[in-house]
Amino acid sequence: MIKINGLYHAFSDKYVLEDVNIEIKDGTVTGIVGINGAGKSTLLRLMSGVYVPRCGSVEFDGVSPSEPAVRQNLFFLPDDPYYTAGATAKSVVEMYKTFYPDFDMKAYGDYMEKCKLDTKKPLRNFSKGMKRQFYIAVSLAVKPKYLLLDEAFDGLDPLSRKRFKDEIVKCADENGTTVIITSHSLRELEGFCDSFILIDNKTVKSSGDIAEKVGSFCKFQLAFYEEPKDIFKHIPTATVHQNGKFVQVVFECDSNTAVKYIESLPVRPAVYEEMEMDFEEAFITEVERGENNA
Amino acid sequence: MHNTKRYFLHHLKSVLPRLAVFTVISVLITVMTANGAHSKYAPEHSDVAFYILSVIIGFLAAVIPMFEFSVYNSKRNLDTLFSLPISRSSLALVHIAVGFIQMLLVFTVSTAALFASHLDFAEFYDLYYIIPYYFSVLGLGTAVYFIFTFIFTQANTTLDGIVFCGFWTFNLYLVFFFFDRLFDLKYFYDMTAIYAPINGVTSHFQYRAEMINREEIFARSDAIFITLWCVLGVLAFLGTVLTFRRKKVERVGEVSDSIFGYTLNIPLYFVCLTSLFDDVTATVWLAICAVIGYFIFRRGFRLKKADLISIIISFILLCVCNVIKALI
Repeated sequence: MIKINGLYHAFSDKYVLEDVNIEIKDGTVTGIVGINGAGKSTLLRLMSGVYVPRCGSVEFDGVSPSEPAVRQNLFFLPDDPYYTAGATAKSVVEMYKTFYPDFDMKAYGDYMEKCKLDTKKPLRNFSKGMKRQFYIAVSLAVKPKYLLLDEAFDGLDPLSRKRFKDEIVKCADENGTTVIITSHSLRELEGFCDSFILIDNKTVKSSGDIAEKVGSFCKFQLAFYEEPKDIFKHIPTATVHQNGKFVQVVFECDSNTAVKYIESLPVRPAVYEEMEMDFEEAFITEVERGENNA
Repeated sequence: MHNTKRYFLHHLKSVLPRLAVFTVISVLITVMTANGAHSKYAPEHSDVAFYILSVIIGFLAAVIPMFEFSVYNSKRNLDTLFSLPISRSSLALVHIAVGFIQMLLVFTVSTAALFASHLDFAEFYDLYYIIPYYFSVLGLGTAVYFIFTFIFTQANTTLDGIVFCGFWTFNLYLVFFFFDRLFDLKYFYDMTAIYAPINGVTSHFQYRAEMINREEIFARSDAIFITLWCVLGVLAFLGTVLTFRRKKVERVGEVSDSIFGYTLNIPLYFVCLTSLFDDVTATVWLAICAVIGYFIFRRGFRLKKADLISIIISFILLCVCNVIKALI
């Protein structure tokens, strides 16, 4: 189990993470989401032992990642991993094999074959997506207990994304790997992650089950005969987006309660209908609500 | 096998091409210099070209830390390297050890090449002095290598690391020169430049090998400074391992504000060089250079309060020293 308690981290005097508390169960796939600069990558670096926290602790089964023994069971795939100027896929694998003696060459070979990547070609000649696929093959071959992936979908084509997701789910199910993944593409995380952690305003804004989170919101499109003014102040809304006579309202409640709120408006809409909500919209709603409250 | 051992072997294997290039170039330079030092017409007046080996080890001691540790001056690299299952101290030890092996091999092969090149003229030399020369210069070269490794790793960028090493080549010499101007120390500061002990030992053994009787070239103060440099080397080695363990990845690529870098050396060079000239125009020019130094340090024209304070303090120090000098 991963436990993060009262974690604070700063660059010089500027705090980027404050009082972060997280618990991640073993064998789950967790997505870390947040706007650019929210501190997602910083959190992964703190979890992988690259950064040392200013305050608080990160523990993997009760032990800090600053211990090399913990990192033996952990693999961190950063956004832009290190390789030397003339490195080939083969030479990079040789380096990882020195640290992870149980490196599964068969799993690596199988994934590389599926991706049709040339292991003798210098990595600098690989495209961004090819490099990403190669490092994904390495991370899967390491078979770590904890797999930390930063912007793992970046540069991958739809087919590679699907292949990668299938492998991650397989990895979590068969090996009990705990996967933590950051991504800007929230639609990618939906239906693939068990849970999510939303980092906003330097701390964990919300976390939990993705489906539950999406289900906690409902979105309605309303059309009025005349442009309404300030009528939504009277009902508890999460966000309101108005475009003339048309208004899109998100409520944090079930649909029936939302309908009651709509019908209690001082000006009744001409028509209204419920629209489907996805994780990305739930995320935007959460962040916008935070900004409005601030 | 332990991860440190495995990484050591892996890293050693990865530096083999570099080692081969260093060895070939060093042997070529050594052989060419040795051949150039011989005179067919007056072999008894030929030189034993020990000095070229000193140049080689001096060059390696400065350059190898840059090759070994510049990889740690990129945040991108550290994301991978510091998340691997190996402690930071072990990483530092592996790179120091592999760097030392490169220096040892290149220097040993070059020494053997020099010995072989001088064999035809063996009757005019006492070539056995190459053995004590080899060990003493290797020891001093290792101390210099450790010092440059420590200094280089205190910087947050490779360029700053190179500048720091440049500062440390002469800064102790300048300090002693400065005090010599005040208190007339004279003989004390001969060995205070970082390469001076290697140079002194080289001259000593070269004269011995050439059978020139120059007993006086090795003063007692030289032995004190040679010991001092060796102690500094050991401290630098320990310092590298300790500070590397606490390396702040967040600071990599940022301004290098280590006390061993610009912070210490800009005021130090300003005060010491100004005392050299005793001239108002030179002082103004050196002050301008110091301010430019701070601009380079801060990578901009906005200086911090600490920078201005250190300029003012160094200027006050300079005035006080001049008063003391005048009183003495």
